[in-house]
Amino acid sequence: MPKNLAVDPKKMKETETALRAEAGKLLGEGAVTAFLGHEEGWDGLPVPFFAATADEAKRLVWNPLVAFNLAKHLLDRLDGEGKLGIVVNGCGSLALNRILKDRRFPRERLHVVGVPCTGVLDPDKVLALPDAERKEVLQSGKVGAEFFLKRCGWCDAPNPVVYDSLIGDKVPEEAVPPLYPRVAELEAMKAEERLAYFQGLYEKCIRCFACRNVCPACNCRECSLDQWDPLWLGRAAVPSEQLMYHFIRAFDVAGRCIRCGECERVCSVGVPLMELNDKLMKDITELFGVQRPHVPADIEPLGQFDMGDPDVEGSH
Amino acid sequence: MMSDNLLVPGVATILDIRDETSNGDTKTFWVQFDKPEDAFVHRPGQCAMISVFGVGESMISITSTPTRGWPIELCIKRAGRVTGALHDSQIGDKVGLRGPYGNIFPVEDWKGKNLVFIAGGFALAPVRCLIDYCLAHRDWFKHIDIIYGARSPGDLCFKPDILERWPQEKDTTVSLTVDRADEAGTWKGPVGFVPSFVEQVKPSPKDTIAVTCGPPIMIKFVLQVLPKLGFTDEQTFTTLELKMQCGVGKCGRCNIGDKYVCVDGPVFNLTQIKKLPAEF
Amino acid sequence: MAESPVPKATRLVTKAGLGAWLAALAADNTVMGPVMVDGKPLFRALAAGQEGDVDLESVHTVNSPKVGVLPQTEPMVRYRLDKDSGGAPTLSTEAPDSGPPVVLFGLRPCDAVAIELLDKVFLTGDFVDGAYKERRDKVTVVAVACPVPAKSCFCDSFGLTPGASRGADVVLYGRSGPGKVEGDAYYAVAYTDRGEALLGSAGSKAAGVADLPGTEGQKMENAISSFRALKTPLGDKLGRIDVAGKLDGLFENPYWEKISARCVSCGTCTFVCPTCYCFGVADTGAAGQGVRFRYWDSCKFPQFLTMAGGHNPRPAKKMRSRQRFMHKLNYYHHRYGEYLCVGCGRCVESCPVGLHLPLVAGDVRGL
Repeated sequence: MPKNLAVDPKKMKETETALRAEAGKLLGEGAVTAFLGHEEGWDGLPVPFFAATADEAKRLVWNPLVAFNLAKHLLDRLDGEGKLGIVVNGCGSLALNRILKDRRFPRERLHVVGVPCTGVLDPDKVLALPDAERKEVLQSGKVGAEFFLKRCGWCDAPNPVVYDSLIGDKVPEEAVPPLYPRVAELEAMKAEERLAYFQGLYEKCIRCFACRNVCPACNCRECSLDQWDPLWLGRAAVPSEQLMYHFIRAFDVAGRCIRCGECERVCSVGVPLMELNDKLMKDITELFGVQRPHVPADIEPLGQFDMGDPDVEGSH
Repeated sequence: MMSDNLLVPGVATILDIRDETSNGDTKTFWVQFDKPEDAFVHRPGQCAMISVFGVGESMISITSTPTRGWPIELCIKRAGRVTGALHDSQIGDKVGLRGPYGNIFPVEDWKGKNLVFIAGGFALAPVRCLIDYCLAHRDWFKHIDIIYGARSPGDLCFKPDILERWPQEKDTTVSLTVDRADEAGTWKGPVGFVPSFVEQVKPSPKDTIAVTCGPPIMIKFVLQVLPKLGFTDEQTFTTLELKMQCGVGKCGRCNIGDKYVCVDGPVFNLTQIKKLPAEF
Repeated sequence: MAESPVPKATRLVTKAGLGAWLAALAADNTVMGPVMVDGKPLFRALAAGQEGDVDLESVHTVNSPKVGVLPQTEPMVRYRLDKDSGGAPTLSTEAPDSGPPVVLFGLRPCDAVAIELLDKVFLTGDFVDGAYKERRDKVTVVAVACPVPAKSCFCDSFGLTPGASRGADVVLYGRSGPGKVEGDAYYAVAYTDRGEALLGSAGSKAAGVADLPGTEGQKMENAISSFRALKTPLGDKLGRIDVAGKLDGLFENPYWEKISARCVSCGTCTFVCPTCYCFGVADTGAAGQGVRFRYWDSCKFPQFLTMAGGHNPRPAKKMRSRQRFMHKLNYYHHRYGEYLCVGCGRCVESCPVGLHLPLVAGDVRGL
């Protein structure tokens, strides 16, 4: 858990003011055709929002609840030539870099406003508080560690890794040892026990695809699991297909997962999806020596090929 | 029908397969239920769900007139998995079949009128059922005009009907066109797109009903030409097509506004279409 | 939706005796009810011995009881393609068993109404869905009146109440009326023949479903009235939702583009919703044999309407969001005279971006 984890609503309000000003300027000058940020949705929940005019920029928010990872929404605006603005904190910039390094959106079409971050709260938990407590938390920022997003607990990238301009000063970075607490327990299980565990886990999955749709690493033009010809994923919500869906997705994002945990956060039935992703991330660290697998690189370990790889004939 | 379960088809056999287009992408399948008691009586405009088990189902308009009975004919263009599987089938293969679905052309309302049928490509299929039904009740109607075109001579469907049988019917004119003639130069007839061809043929709107089916782009322009010739919305009929799964108005897929194409359509007149939201 | 049907039978069930009653019901039925699974209340078939774990405290489960009448995956027909001795193709089909009778236990009054709204689609109109009917005829609905509405509930926006009985065969009302503490027993009130049969069955009697003490008649009436007088905070704020007429003219309104920008095109709202019913039909199998089944599909999925050949009439999010809310608040109303929503609040709880019915219904009023 990073030592500096804290939420400073006053500072965030200042950031919000600066963000509105910068986005308003970019839009007013025509430097961007739309600015992707958050606006206040139902009951105070920040939701993705494309501000299209300087006036609309006044609706942008930056507050303790800006948890939703925006970068994936850029793919809604792939068509067209116009430049877009986007605001990202640390993990938001990891998501953006995932999209950029997968070459799914051109960097030249973006103006990135970065915001160094010291923590964001879980909107579900905060908005569930009684009104008086909620108000207190959002005004003072005084809150227990369990109210932060899970990903804040292992965050070692609080400063944006990609940006054109920055709002606020950079925060000190901490090397956070990669801990995958649940993985050791899973590894300790016998094979049959583990299979039964995963089958039980995914059995409550309702195949809504929320996890896939919010994942920045799941950014294919057409998801193979949606295809009919060939039919990779049967439409039946039966145990064999559930495992198929989740295992395929875990392997597809392996090496590219940014450990944001949005998949888990949006799952309505509470499947702990990160368990498998964490296991694969731990394996990649151990097998390939990648120290920070959750930080997007130009080429990811599973996307590389070397003639010296041990499975290449004649290499050893 | 076959069972209380609306989605379970009866077992049918493919009795014959005929090529309609020279490139083989459109074929007419003659199918018959294995159990005679499964046979249904359809009306012009209606469709049937034909399926290849293991692949899926496809809603196809019935192209043979009910007055001719069974086996019925389904004209199918190769477009996706199911139609592809059907195209790869042989005579004697077993398929699933259920129907008839959809509303019908209000033929009884058209007694005493002239009829103009305008079709493009393989969309002549649903109109053909209607044409043959009307020809089977020939004295209900006055003059019949059949205006039909395709991309090329090889793409003209139902050649025995358009070239031989229909032109010989009483007080019936068949006018054919192609978008472009063949290179061998064997096509001696008119060349041009169907909508402008309709303008040339210039059917009169007086006491006339117009029925048009074709690719969306053709329909769009035909529906601009007909009013120019004096046809009202009430006189003009067409069929709409959307993705369908159940065919019986339950699965929620084929709606345009609050209308389901599978039960409130596929036959609509232009007055009804103009009330529908533009989403198809 | 006038509310005052005459009870056909009344009984008393102690809270402590619920487990035994459910176990008795499980002898001849598949019992489905709310259970806590890793901290989330889910509606599902109870495993043997799980009857005591039924959770009636959570106001509603994350998923809805529609699974009991419209399973997410429902086999329609088993097929087998083969060749006879002469080499000619054969095709045989067989209908799968629709299973034992089902008791849907512990759902809320809004969920019971939702099942009636589904019944209108599948059991009326030009065709009666035989598979749905066969399953539906074996279902007994035992609802529980809500002691406390949840923050996301808005059933009263559709004229319902936490004590409604429409669609239920039996309703359990907490003996001490609404409030966080449910008291020691429930009044079990049967409103249909099926409900009466359930309450009067030998199994129920043996499990402790007792006759109502003669002195409690009035107390029961009071409790029922109190449940029916309960208001939901969100429903109170929204008021009655009656936007069908207004929506007639709003198809091309730019609102849909604006509001749908936040959507992630998943199917969460449609799958947790007790009144969403859109389904697809697909085949599975290998080597000539398999199953044709229907499965839940979502108008929110981008590929929902994609046709062979590639044409997609709803490629944009605004069209799909519009479709969902028009279906709920306008199209269904045109066909069946009421709204395809019961105000259960599941979409409010589950949508990751808060794009749900109360938001849209409220916004539409202001357009």
